[in-house]
Amino acid sequence: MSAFDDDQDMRAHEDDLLSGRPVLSEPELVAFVAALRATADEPAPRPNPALAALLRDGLAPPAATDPARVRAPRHLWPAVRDHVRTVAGLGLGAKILLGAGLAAATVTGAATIDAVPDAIQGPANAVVSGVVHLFRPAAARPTPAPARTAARTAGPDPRPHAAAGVDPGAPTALPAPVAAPSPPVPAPSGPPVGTATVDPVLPAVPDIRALLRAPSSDPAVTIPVLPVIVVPPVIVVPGVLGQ
Amino acid sequence: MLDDFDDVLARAQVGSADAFTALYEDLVRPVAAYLRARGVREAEDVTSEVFLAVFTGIGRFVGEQAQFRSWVFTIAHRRVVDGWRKGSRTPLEIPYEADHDARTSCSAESDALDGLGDIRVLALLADLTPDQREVLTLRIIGDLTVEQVGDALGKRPGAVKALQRRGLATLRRVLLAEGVTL
Repeated sequence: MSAFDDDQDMRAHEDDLLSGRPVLSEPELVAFVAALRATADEPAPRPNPALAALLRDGLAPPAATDPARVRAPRHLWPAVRDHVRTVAGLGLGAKILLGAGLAAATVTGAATIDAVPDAIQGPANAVVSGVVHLFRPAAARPTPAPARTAARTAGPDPRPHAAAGVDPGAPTALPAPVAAPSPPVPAPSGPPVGTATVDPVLPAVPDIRALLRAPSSDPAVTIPVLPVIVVPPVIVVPGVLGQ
Repeated sequence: MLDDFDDVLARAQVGSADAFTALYEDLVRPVAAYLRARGVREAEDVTSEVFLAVFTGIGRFVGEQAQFRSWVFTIAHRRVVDGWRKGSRTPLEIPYEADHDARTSCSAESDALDGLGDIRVLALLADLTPDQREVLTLRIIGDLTVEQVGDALGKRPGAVKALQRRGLATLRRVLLAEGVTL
């Protein structure tokens, strides 16, 4: 008799034993199996309130739903999942660039879209203007334009002759032209009524929307759409982390 | 066993209370016995939890009556394991005490059946390892095949057969050592 036959015989013997069939050679185990089986003949336990309610009332059949409403997420989720997997598969540098690009696009959009509230557009406008200012070629940067500044700020200038209603482009330190002498303009004693004050240290903020709409031939208004933010590499020392 | 299982299952899958009751009455006693044999202290509550899980998930079940029985015991097994993991329920270890031993004679099988009461049976199960106990209770109380037990426990049939064989050998040795001649 082979080992396979032995195994088959042993399995048949155990199956008979465990299923409660009489096995004459092992009355002790037969009695044990019968006693264990008899524990299942005890009265059924009382169901708890939740199960009792279920046995009494049943369950409401699942409500019929609009197939279109059910299918939509199934079509949407794979696409979202694909995008997430694509981004997750990028390297660290690519993720940083992507994040910086998204942030720049968001700020630029907030600064240029008219529908954005002023409370958001103002700071965004200032940020984008600062970046644009950095990326302008030095030669193309306009010299401080007192006329634009005064026109936009309409406030007191630290220079003594800058005042509302006075041409601030006229150099106050130069002597007046001989051909057209003019009386000296009195220095203002304070901000004129009806004008707003601005921080005299900060340069005037140009209107970014006007800059973006300007023709691209003007080198002074060439704007980098996505400024690159360079993040210094972080060197991780394992010994330091372990402490 | 239900004669019209397919019809009962179909009605249960749409929430019929009568079908739930039929399935419950068919399996509640062996499930409760299995939980008691596994040492679950709040066997009544856990039995209700098992059937609540069965009835709320029955819409996804596909199979025949034997597979349904195996599925129900699989849920019961998982409840037992969850209870142990939470630490709120520990296996009921019943030490053997002669005062509680109702055996007065060992002359006939009927006397042996009376003598091997619930407490004695649970005490004998306590001599087994947890895996051996799990296999034997599912085989004897649950009426599951070796393959179904393997599915419920996540073990290969060969491993189930080995546990079953070693468990029976342990029981055989203990019964003979204690002089339980029937």
